[in-house]
Amino acid sequence: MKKHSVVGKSLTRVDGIAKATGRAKFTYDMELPNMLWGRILRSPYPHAKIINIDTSEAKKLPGVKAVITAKDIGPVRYGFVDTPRYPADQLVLATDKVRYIGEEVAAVAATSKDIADEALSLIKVEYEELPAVFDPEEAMQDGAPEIHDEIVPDRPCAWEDWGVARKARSYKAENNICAISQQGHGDIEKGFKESEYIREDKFYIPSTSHMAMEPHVALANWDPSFQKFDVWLTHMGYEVKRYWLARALDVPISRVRVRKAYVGGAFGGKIDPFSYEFLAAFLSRMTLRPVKISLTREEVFIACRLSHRFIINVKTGVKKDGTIMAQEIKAIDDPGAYRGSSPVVLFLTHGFRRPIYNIPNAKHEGIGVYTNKSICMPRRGHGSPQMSFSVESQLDQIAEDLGLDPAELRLKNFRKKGDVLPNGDTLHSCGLAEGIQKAMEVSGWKEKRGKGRDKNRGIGIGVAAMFNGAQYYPFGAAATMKLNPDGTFTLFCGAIEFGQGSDTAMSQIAAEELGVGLDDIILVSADSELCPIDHGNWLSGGIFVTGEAVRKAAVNVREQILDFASGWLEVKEDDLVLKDRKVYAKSDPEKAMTFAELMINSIQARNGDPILGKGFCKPVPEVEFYPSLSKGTGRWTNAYTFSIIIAEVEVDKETGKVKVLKLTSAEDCGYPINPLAVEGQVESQAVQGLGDALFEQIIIENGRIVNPTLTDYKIPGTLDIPEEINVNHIITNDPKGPFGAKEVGESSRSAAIAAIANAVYDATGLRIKELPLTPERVLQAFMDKKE
Amino acid sequence: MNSSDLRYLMNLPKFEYFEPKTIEEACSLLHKYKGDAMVLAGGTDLLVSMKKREISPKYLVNIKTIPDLNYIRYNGEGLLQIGALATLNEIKDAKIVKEKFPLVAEAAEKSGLPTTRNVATMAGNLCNALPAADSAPLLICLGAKVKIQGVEGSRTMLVEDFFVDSKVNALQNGEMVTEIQVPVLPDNSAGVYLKNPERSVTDVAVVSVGTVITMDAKRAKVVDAKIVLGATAPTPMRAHKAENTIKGKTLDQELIEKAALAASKEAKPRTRPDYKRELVRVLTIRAIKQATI
Amino acid sequence: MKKRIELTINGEHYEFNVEPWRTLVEVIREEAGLTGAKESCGTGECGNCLVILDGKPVNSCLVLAVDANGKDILTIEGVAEGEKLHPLQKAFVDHGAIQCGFCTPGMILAAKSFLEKNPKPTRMETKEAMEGVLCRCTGYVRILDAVLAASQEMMQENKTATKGGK
Repeated sequence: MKKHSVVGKSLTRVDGIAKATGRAKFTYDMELPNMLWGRILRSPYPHAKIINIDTSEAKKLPGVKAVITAKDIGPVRYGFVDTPRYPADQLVLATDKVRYIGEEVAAVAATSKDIADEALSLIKVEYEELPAVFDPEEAMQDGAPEIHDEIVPDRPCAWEDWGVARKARSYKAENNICAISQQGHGDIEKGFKESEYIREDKFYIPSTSHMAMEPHVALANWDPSFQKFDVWLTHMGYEVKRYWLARALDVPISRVRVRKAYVGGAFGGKIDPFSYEFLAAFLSRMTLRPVKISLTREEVFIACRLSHRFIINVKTGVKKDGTIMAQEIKAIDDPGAYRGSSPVVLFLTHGFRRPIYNIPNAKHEGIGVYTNKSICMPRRGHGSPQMSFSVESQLDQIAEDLGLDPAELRLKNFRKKGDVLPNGDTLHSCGLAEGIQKAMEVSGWKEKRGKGRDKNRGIGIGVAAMFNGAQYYPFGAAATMKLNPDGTFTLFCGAIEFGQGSDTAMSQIAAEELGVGLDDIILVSADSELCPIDHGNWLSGGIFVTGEAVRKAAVNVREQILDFASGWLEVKEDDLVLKDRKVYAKSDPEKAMTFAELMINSIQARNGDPILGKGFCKPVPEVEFYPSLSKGTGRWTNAYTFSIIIAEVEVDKETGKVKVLKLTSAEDCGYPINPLAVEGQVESQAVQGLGDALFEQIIIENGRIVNPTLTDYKIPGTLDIPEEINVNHIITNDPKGPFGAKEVGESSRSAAIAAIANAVYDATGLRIKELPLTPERVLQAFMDKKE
Repeated sequence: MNSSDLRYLMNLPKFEYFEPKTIEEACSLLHKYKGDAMVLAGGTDLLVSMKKREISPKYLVNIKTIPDLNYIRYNGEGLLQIGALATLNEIKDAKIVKEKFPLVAEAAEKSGLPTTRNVATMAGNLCNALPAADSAPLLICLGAKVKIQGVEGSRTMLVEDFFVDSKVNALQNGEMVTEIQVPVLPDNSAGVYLKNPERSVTDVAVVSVGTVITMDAKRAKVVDAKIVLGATAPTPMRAHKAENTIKGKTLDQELIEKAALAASKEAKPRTRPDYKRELVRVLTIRAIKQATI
Repeated sequence: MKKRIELTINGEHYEFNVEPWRTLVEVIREEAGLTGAKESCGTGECGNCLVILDGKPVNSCLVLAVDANGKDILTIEGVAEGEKLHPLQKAFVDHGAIQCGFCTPGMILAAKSFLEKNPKPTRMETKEAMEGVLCRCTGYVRILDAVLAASQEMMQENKTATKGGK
């Protein structure tokens, strides 16, 4: 293998000093001259008709510059999903009724936060309460309150706008069902017939919050002279944001510029278009002044999406030796009052599991059901944590029931490199077997498993997988690059830095191809005006897709350098070396030219050509547009990553408190572009998974989130983390990724949750099928067992 | 439906602000504005409640501008005196407290996050009168008192009696707490404060138990015992039956378990009663054992 | 209703007219224009708004600006000496203790005041001291590494400084 000099190194992040000194500006920190503060009035009812909204008093308040209701803008629809089958169902402002507590009803812009607040209290909304429904299984019954009328699209859907020639249809939610997924392969009946042991379990997973430290915020500035919006957002990709802003505000997409700002964490919680973003833009256009809407933590909990609530029934049939013959899943997703990402998550709960085990006969039925609750969207793994907890818990129990080692059972059923999945995706690389062996060895699995119960200790394992980018508009990413007069390069790419280290990784990739150091790459990222098209940093496509586009842009520049230098120096291209901002002949290093000279010479000799490069990449080049969400057919991605986590826990059997002692991870990210960043991503996920496994949950009573503050919704702190998190790199060098790299940000969280739950079983003999494993739940399980 | 349900405000509501220079001036302001005025000391609980619109006082009386309320001193006659403005970290770190009143240090240390303790006061923790007030159980076990100043003069009261109901203290109109007084621990005494879950950002004191046990000189029999339960009733409460179970007796596993069972029956949790009672039982066993090692 | 207050922030003298209900973090950010301190939760749980007030780390979202009148404040902007990073800042960068960076100012200030009190801490002591600052990105492992590495570095620097003084 070629030795790398920049990639594969634990270089410190390019934005490190800016962040360590407090100079890095987040959207939350941005202010513009003459700026107004926007605030949003939200629904206090889970389900109610809006009879009347009286804004006259609010408008009279000195300092109030605009008050906006649905009357001013009409029914402007948007949604994460806007397909021919599932038209967008959300509204920028509620029109005739509200469907969850916290839904946006009106907004104001004023010269100060205090005035904006006071103005909200002067808006009088007359509601007529409607019967509400909160339980998805009740909402599916005949006679349950109907949350949505038929939605009739009044314009082409997002798919059509991005070139998919299929017409939008209207949608009527029968029995509140907002999404259906029917996937599978093989013959499920036959599979169960051939099984020697069948087990069925039902699992419950609550919503959690992404809890990115930067609260959601938008700053919009309408410039009437250029008929253009400048917006600063805390987000995960500008294309989807400006597509929706342009559509809602009815301006051409080129008239919305999303500016670069650092993003204070995302974890999936900032993908969705949000009402507050549209409202900042509407209010700015109404007042001709910049408008900033900065949400409070409580608003983030209530109105900025949660992870999906699930009820998952798993039935698995195996041979006595642990060979899986059949698996049938029935999943009920409760995305809340709007569809959110329900059709996607229903597909993914299956799609993310498909690459792990070779299950010959599988059936997966998913239903999404509207309820009068806050909306659900992706959170780090999007469906994978929920399904991993369920399936991995059950596999563990099957191993226990059959007297098999749970790790061996997994190893027996793992897929391997070269496997073609039922939808046609190929595993060009797969570190599952190597990973589990490594994790078992490092953690001391064989010595510890089943031997700690008298000491209240246990060890457990979890496995998860993740896509590396998938088909979603704009269906690809590109990068451009220019040579500078001092021999450095400026790289333009759309990737957005929200903590994962993309600015650093993209710079490393470019530097490697050009034989320069990290300091020689000047990065311009995440500005929609300056950077080319980009699909955004989600579906874990950052490195695999945008990174590959960046690599190709650098290769393109390199080719131009070689081409020119070869002629100028009269050396064959394959004899030329790029190193330290110079190009020289291997055979005769005296024949050399600095990049600075090269640029000047190229301009002189080649009619002004200063050396400009471009590169682009599509997640699955072989196919067009979307595969089927509802059937799971069609190609999805070109690579999968795999995470294996082994957890060790100690359980206080008298209080029910679980302490995680150690986490051992084996991570197949293909090839770590920056090992330090990869380890940071895994540790991050392991600790998030610890929170999910042990205490994080959104508690909703009658549609009201009762713990919408950090006082009541706890996330892990320094004292909660294990003594050791051991990250092992399983290098599989995927042939499709840049330098063999895949993704690393999403799958270990799922593996950690399952591993911790399984370790609790090993320590206690208690199989708890509902997350989180709070002390109360564990203690209750002990008491139930005694009885 | 109150306004906070509609607006999700996290900035502070408006109020009028006073900086009295004397205790008398503070009391007269409190008296003048009756229930509309509140004392600002550390403010860590008060300001959160105001942001959440649980309370919206029209007037805040900042007592930090009163000189001589921030002290921690030993009066030489068996009494620790803690001024109303002494912060939890100042109390925890004070030499006299560490040396002579380790349980007061423990009560301070187990109250709130490290940064909060730089601002929050022990007097404020008591005045908020939360059922889960972390400094209360040990102070009650120790027989601590609060000194109360009002427009009519001053009085002292046991911390135990100061808690009236959930979020209700015994202060009358125009009164404020100026000092906490803690008597020195008798010989052969030890105590502990346990909460579950234990300290960690992820934990709220679901249940807590404070215990102080005095043994006879031979360390054979229990001379006196105080067991106080937190967060299991509207106020921190003495578990009298549990105390009486072990008083005058020689401790053994059976007796400790009997006392703990009594404590769990005495507890009056309003929510999740089975779980909380079981925790009271477990923590009481652990507390008695740790206080008598 | 506004009250005139004087603050010393990072060694510089400031005067503001503020309403009594303004919190310190609002005044530091919006009046002084120092945006390093962040307000993430507003309820004193996350420590992202942590500043050093008269030598002690406090959550500036739970301190009234009027109550800080006359006091000395250190924010993240005052930690480096010009372009020279404080050992903690350097350690945070070098050890991968920074991801999104939103909590970093609070983390560094909490660590700074902790190391001043306890220059040679154990990992457990560090965990306890840093309990009040929440980070969602890093899982804390590298943050603890960075604080401990900085403590070594700072002790080394102090030794050198003492020797030089002789």
